[in-house]
Amino acid sequence: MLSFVARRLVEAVPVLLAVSIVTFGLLYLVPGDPVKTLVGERASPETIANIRRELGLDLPVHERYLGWLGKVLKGDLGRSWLTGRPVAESLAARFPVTARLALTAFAVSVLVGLGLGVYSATRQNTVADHLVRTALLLVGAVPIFVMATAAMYLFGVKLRVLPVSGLGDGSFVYFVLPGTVLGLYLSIYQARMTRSVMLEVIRQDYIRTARAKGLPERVVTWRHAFRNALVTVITLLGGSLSHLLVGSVLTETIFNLPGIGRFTVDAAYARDLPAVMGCFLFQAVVFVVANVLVDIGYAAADPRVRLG
Amino acid sequence: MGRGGSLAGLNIMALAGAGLILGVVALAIAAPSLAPTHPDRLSLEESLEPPGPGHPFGTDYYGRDVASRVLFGTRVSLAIGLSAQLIALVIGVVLGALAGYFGGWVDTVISRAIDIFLAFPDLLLAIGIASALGPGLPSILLALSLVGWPGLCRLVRGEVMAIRERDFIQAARAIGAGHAWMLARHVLPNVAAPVLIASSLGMGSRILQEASLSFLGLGVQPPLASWGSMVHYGLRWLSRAPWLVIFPGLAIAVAVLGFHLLGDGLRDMLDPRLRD
Repeated sequence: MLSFVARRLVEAVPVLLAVSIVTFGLLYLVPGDPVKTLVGERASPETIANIRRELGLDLPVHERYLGWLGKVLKGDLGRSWLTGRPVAESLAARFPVTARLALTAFAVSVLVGLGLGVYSATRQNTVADHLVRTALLLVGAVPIFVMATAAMYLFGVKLRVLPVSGLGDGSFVYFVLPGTVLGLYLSIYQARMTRSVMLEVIRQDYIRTARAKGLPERVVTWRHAFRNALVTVITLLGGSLSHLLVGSVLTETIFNLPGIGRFTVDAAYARDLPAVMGCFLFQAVVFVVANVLVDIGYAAADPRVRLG
Repeated sequence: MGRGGSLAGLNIMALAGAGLILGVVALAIAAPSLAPTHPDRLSLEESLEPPGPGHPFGTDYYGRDVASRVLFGTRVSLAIGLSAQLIALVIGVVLGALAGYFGGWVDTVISRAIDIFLAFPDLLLAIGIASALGPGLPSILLALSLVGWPGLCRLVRGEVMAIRERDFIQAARAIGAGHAWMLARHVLPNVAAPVLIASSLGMGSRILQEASLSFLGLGVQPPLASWGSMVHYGLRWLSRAPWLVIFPGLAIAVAVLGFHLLGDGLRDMLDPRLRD
């Protein structure tokens, strides 16, 4: 197990390096002179020279990259061009909001997604199964921002039962609507995967044995089938994670939650490149690291993975 | 659905999907003759009118006819989705075939590139590119193609690797077929089915991604309007004029559903291994 963990961690290093290079490369996508493009042609030569020096634009590419990487490794993501505040500080301040949204959404998605998946699989090819699958297909085609807008209109504008914008006093009620919408969005993917994993498990011999022993169907489903399916379902979390990050960007923007997703969009909109790069790098690193953790979790649950 | 539904040997999901897509494409082509008014015609005295006889989908703040704008938005959304998917397809198939066919260092380099691009959540990569390059058509196309190719490339690579070991390839090699001939004549035709399935599902993803990017204000810029950018501008009138969001949102869902149905249906038809 230890050697698997070590191998997986070592494998992540080149990917993380590549992520940093792509992030740094964003600076080179800016057409023309990035500084002039971003601070405006009319900025004083002094300002431009200062930003140039701060970004190290007067150095050769590899030196710039290494200098930037060295700072990043020390937790310095530079200063926002918009607010002048350190990007790392803003990220840290906004992280709790995104984390709370993600946790709420994740709880909803596991409950709904895994539940629907098991429900549908244990009733394969019945009317209930077809209804669930059709619903997943239909809802899966609706973009999350349309779903979120619809929820906002229904609960915030028409029924006026839930707050639809901002963080208010930061209490849980402000996360109910965004968390549920994001959770339902994630659960579509999870329900589909859970269903197909469950279908495979249900066909195994040990399930037939459990039934032959005369165990009640509920026990067969949950204690024998679901627990074995769960091992594979853990890897779903890796797949959900990309949806979670993307979904939180859109959800935070719509519900005006001051999290990292909203920060990313605001920075991108203002073309505040240090902030964009910081958000970009942070989320990509979270994504890569989380995928490694999921792999390790998977290996811990299933010896075949780490030995195979 | 699934394995059950078929009509004259054709999968019902695939048929329904193809029907929806054909319908949407027909609307895009016929937009000029179907639209009640010109999509950009301002009419300030008709600001924010609810759906009714004159304006089936209502009007926006400037009194522009929402139905006409959704119809013309179909062209923008489909054209961007299709172009991005085609670019991703060409990159993915060419690199995937090279990696799978030649193996060795070619495969190593291309596989690492795939890993790197898959290390980013799709929308995040698109946002990064759009903000660095500046919003607009070139950055949308670049962003969506970069997001789309790795999945296709990995698929083609795997399929080509499997085909490479088959007897008919060995036979062709034995009679002296060159690499280019082998790839074009024997290998690629055999990956057509999975690529077709992935492309249909991919079109759905590209349309969703364009819509998301434009919804965030980082995609299609005025005066051009796609379904996503219409939702972006409609959101500020949500409490007074929800139809500004409902109709373009519905259009996205219908188009995406069409491509998903076609992709899933084709998979059931063409790839019996993947049936559940």
